[in-house]
Amino acid sequence: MKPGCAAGSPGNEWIFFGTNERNIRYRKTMSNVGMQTSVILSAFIFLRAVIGFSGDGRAIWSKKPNYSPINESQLFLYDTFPKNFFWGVGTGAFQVEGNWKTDGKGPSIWDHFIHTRLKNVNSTNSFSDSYVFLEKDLSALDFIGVSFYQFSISWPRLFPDGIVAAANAKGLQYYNTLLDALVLRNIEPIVTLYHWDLPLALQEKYGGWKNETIIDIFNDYATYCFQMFGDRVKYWITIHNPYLVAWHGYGTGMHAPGEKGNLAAIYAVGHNLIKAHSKVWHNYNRNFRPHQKGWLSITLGSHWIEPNRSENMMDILKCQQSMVSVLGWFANPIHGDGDYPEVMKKRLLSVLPLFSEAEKNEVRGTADFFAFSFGPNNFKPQNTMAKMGQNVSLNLREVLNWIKLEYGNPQILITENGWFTDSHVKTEDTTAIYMMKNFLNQVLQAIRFDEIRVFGYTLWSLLDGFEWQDAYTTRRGLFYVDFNSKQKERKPKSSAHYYKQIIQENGFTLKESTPDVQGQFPCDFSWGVTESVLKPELMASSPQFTDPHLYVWNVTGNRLLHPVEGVRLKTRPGQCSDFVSIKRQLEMLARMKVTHYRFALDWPSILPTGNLSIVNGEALRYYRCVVSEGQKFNISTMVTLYYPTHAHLGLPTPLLQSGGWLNPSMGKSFQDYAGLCFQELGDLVKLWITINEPNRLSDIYNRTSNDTYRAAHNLLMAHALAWHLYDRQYRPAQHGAVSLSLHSDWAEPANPYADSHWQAAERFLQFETAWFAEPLFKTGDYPLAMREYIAFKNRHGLSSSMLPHFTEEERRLVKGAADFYALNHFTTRFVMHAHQNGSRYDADRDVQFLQDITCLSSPTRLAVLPWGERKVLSWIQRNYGNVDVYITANGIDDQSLENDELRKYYLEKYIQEALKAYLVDKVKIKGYYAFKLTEEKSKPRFGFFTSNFKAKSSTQFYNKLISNSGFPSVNSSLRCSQTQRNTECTACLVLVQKKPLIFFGCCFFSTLVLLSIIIFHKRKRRKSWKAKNLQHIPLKKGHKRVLS
Amino acid sequence: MQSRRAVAGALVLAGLWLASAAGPFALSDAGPHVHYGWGEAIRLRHLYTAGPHGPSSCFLRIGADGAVDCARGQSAHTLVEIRAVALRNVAIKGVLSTRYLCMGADGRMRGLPQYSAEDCAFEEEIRPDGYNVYRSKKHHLPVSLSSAKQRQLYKDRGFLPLSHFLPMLPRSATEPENFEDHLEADAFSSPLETDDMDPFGIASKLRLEQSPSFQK
Repeated sequence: MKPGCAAGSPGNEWIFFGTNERNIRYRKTMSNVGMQTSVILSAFIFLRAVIGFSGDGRAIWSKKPNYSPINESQLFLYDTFPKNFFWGVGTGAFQVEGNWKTDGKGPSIWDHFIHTRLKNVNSTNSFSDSYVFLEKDLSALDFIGVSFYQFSISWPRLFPDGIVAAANAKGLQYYNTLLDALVLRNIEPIVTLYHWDLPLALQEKYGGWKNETIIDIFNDYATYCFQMFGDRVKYWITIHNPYLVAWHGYGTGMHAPGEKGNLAAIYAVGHNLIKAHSKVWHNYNRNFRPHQKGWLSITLGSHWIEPNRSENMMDILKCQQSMVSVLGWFANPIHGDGDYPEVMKKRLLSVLPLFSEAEKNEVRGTADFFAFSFGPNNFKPQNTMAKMGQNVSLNLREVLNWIKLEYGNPQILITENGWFTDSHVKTEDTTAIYMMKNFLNQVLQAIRFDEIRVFGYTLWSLLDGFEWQDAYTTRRGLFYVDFNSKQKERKPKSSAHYYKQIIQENGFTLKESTPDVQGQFPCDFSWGVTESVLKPELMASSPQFTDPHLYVWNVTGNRLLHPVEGVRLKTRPGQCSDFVSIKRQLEMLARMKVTHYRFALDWPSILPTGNLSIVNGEALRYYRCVVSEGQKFNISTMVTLYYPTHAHLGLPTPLLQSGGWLNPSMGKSFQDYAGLCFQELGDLVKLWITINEPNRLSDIYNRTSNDTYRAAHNLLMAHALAWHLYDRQYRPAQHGAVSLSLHSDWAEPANPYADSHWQAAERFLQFETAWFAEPLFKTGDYPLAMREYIAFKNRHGLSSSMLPHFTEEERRLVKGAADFYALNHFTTRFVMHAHQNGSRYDADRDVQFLQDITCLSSPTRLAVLPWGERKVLSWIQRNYGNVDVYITANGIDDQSLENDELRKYYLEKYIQEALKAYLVDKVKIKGYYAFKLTEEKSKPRFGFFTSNFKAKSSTQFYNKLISNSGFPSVNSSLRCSQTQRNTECTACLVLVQKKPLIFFGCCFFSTLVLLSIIIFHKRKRRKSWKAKNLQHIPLKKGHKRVLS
Repeated sequence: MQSRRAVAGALVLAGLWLASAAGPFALSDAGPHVHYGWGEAIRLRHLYTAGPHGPSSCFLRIGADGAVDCARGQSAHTLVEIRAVALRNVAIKGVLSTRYLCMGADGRMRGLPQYSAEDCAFEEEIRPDGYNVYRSKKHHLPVSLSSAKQRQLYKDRGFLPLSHFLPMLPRSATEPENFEDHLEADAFSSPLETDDMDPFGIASKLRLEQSPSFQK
C-alpha cells in the first residue's frame, strides 16, 4: 500500500474519516500527475474492492487463493533477505543475568515471585550468570556473527527501589561495559527498558502497574537511560510484550506479581502500560531524538489463529476477535487510531478504561516501527489467549500480513521469534533447526512475495535461561548452559550453527542441487510406466466362442440356463482379443506413448499349488497376450515375477502355509516358477525383475530381527537361483537381463551439525539398501557396516540379532547375480540417530525419521526432494561401480483427479535430476519407469489414470518429456526414429480411437449417397414416365405404331 | 428397374443394421464384470458406538501402531473396510493403517498387519435396533472398546459396554473419492501441539518408512 495509508483501524467511524482524508490526499497528488489520474483511481478502487478497506485484517482469512500445491509463493523459498537486513539475538535481563542480590541490586517482583510461588525452583545458582560472564556472552555473539544484540536493562539493578536517584554504580558500570563492548564489535545494541522485572519496592508501595503513578516513575527511569546510554543506543524498546504482563501478571497469576482474576485490574494495567510507553516516546521524541537520532517502539506479542471452517463468516469474525483482543488491544492505540478496538469496547463495556480525545492524540502514532514478538509465550499454556473455538497456528507469514492490513504496512522489526526445547535436550536441538527454518522462510516469503517491510529479525534467545512459568524445564537458547556447573560455559547448539549459516548467506541457498541442465537421454533409453500385479482374466470376456455347449434358458421357469445334452458347437481357438482388460491397458499405454511397460505377474494364479504340478495355462496365456499385444504398439515389457505388498504377500497358499519366506525351500519353488515364466514368455520379454522391493518385506517378517534377516536371506537366494537359471539356460537364446528392484530412498541427516545423524543416515542406507545390493553387486556378503553395527549392539546387550552367514557356495551364487541395478525411488528421508532397544530389525538400525514441514510434500507425506534421486544414483555408482541402472518406479500421489500439478512438477524435477546424473555424473541410466499406470479407489492417488481409467493431465506432460527424450536445448534437439514414428502415428491413433465415429460417418455418408441415388433415379423415372405420358398423347393418333 | 430399387433399399437397410449392431459394440466393450475386484463384498464404513452413558460415544479407530481406540469424530483414521470372509463372518481392516482388527486372549483389541482367521474374523450379528455386534468365535467375546477393567466387570455382569456398533456410511456415501479429501485434509492440518517442543510432530517416533509400491 502507499505510505499515505499509514494508519488504519477496524473502528468504523475512523475508517470513513481515514478514507476521506486519503482520497483528498490522492486527489491532490492526482491533479499534479494529470495524465495518470484515471489509471491510479481505477487501480485504487480495484484494490479497495479486493481487500475491503485498509485496516481490516479479516481479509487474510477470506482470501483463500486457489490451492495449488506447487504455487511458487507457497513453496520453500531459496532466496536472500534484503541487503543490510538486520540479524540479531535477544535476551531478557531477568532470564540470564542472575546475581539478584550482587553488587547492590534490588529485588524485583520476579525474585519475590520465585521465592514465594515457584518454591521448587533453585534460584541462587541456576542462572546463566550473564552479569558475571559477560565475556562469554560476547564470544557467543561473535560466534554467530549477528548485526545486533537485543538485551534488557534490569531496572532494579540500576535503581534498587525503582525511584530514580543515585544509580547503583556497579550496575551502571555493567551496562556501560556491555554497550562499549558491542560498539567495539560493531554490533548494534537494541535495548529494552522493561522486560518484566519491576523493582519489588514499586509493587509493594504502589501496587505496581495498577497504579498510574508508575507511569511517571517509569518515565524518569527511561530518561536516565536515554541520558546515560543514548549516545550508543539507536534502537529503544520501552516494554516487552505488555499483553503478557497484564494477562499473566494480573489475570491468570502465572507471572509476577501473581495477582488473579480481577478483570478490571488487567485492563487498568494494560492502560497504564500504554500510557507509560507513549509518555516515554514523547519524552524521547522531544528531548533526545534531535541529537541522539534513534528510534523507539514497544514490543507487542501475539499468537496467530485460523478459522475452523474456512470461508465461514462467523469463524472468521471469531479469529479477528481473538487477534484484536491480544494484539489489537495494544497495537490499535499505538499503531492505529489511538483508541481500543471497537470489538473490545463493546465486549468490555465498564471494564475497559476510556481514552479521552486528548489521550488518544497523545497515544496515537507513538512507535517508530512495529516491534513484533511471536514465540511460545503467546501460545502456551492454553489459557494465554481467547481461542474462541478456532485453531491456533504458527504461521508467522500470515500474522505479518494481518499486521500489514491492520496497521498500513508499517516497518517491522521482529523482536522475538523462535521456539523451545525440553530441558533434557543439550546441544543437539534438531527440532529447533526446523522451527527456525520454517519461521525464517515465512519471514522471507512475507518480504519477497507480500511486500511486508520487515527490516530485522531477533532470534530468541542467545542463551538458555530462566523461562518464566516454565522455570528451567524448557530451553530457548542458541547456546547450551549447564546451570549446575560453576563456569556456565556457553556451548553452541546445532541451531546456533544453523543460524550462523543463514546470517552468513543472508538467506537460504539450495546447495543440494545444481542449476538445471539441457540435454537428452539416448534413443535406446526406455521410457516406461509401472503397474503393480495384473490379475489375469481367467475367463475370456466373450465366452460364446470358446464354450462348446448349447443352452436353453428358463425351461423350468427357474430362469437358469440348461445345457442341451449331446450338442457340440464349433469353437474358435482362444485369441488375445478375448481379454477386454488388455485392450484397455494398451489404450492407456498408447496414450502415454511409453516405450516400456512394467507389470507384475500373480504367482498364485500361475501356480496355485506352488509347484509345477498344476500350471494354469490360461493365466500364462493372458500374460503372454499382454506382452504380445503390447509389442504391436511397439511397447516392450519389463516383467516382475513377484510383487508382494503390505496387504497381500502374493504367495501361493501352500507356500504361505509352509512358512513363506522363512522356509529355505522357497528358493527352489521360486526358481521353478521363474523358469516356467522364462520359458513361456522369455522369447518376448527382455527385461526381468525377479522380486520387487525384497527389502520392504522387513515390514512383514518383523516379529524378530532374526525372522527379518532369515527371510531376506531366502529372498536373496531365491533371486540368485532364478538369475543363474536364466543365465545358464535362457540367456543364450533369449538375450535378456534379470535383476531385482530395491526400494532405494535417499537418506539425509536430519541435523547436519550432528555427527551421529550423519552416521545414522549412512547406516540407514546400509541397512536398507546395501543389505541386498552389497551381496549381489560387490562382495557376496552382507555389508560390513551392518555386521559390525549388529555386533556392537550385541556386545552391549541391546540386541540378540544374528545376521545369517553365507556358505561358500551361497556366496558364489549370489555374487554378481544381477545384470543391472533396479531401484524404486520415491523420496528422501531425514534421518536421526535414536537409541533403541530390542531384537528387531527397526531397532537394530537405531534410526528415527523426521518430516521437514517446510518441504513440499504429497497427501501421504512423501517429501518432494528431487536432488535426493541424484544423490542415490551417485551413491550406487560410488559403491557398485559403473553398473547399468534402471529406475523401475518413481512417482508421487496427487489428490487431483484431472490437473495433477504436483505429479507434473515431480516428474519434471525428478527426470531433470536423473538427466544430471546421466550427463554430469555419468551414471549409466538405461531406463525410467514412472509409477504408476492406474490407481485404485480410496487408495492414495498415484496413478496417471484414475480408477475409472480417465487420463490425468500428467499423461500428456510425461508424453512430451518422452518425445523430447528429456530437456533438449532449442537448437540442438536429437530426434529418435522411434519417437518420430510415434509422432507420425498420431494419425493412426486418432483413427483407432475414433473408430465408431468414423464408422458412423461412413454409414451416414453412404446412406446419403444411396438416398441421393434413389432420389435421382426416382426423378429420372418420373421424367421418363412423364415423357411416356407425353408420348402417349400422339400415340392416340399413331395407334398403328404399337400394333405394327 | 424394380430390382435396382430393391438392391438400393437392401443396402440402406444393411447399412442401418450394421450401424445399429456395431454401434454399441464399438462404444462399450467393457462390462462391469471385468472391473477388478468385483464380487468381493467390501463395505467401507465408520463404526460408531455409543456407551451406556451418552458422552462416551465414539468411532472405532485402528491406529498405524496397532492401537485400537475411540476417536471423537469421523475421519480417515476411523474408516474401516468390512469384508466378508465366510458366511456371517467378517474381517475388519483400518483403511489408513491397513491393519486388521484382531482380538487378543484377554479380549483386548489390537490392529495387526496380518490377518489370521482365528483372531481377526468375527461373526456379525445384526441386532433389532440396527446396531451390530461382532463376536469372536475363539474368545467367545464381542468386539468392544471397553477397558480391561470394564471387561473384568463384564465377566461378572454379562454386559460389555462399547460393543454395539452402528456401521455408518462415509460422509458422502457413494463417492469413495471423498475419502481422499479427508485424508488429504488430515495430513495437512494435523492439530498443532503448542505445548510441545515439536508442535508439528515432525520427529514423531511412529513415523515409518513406507514404499508406495509396497503399501498397496
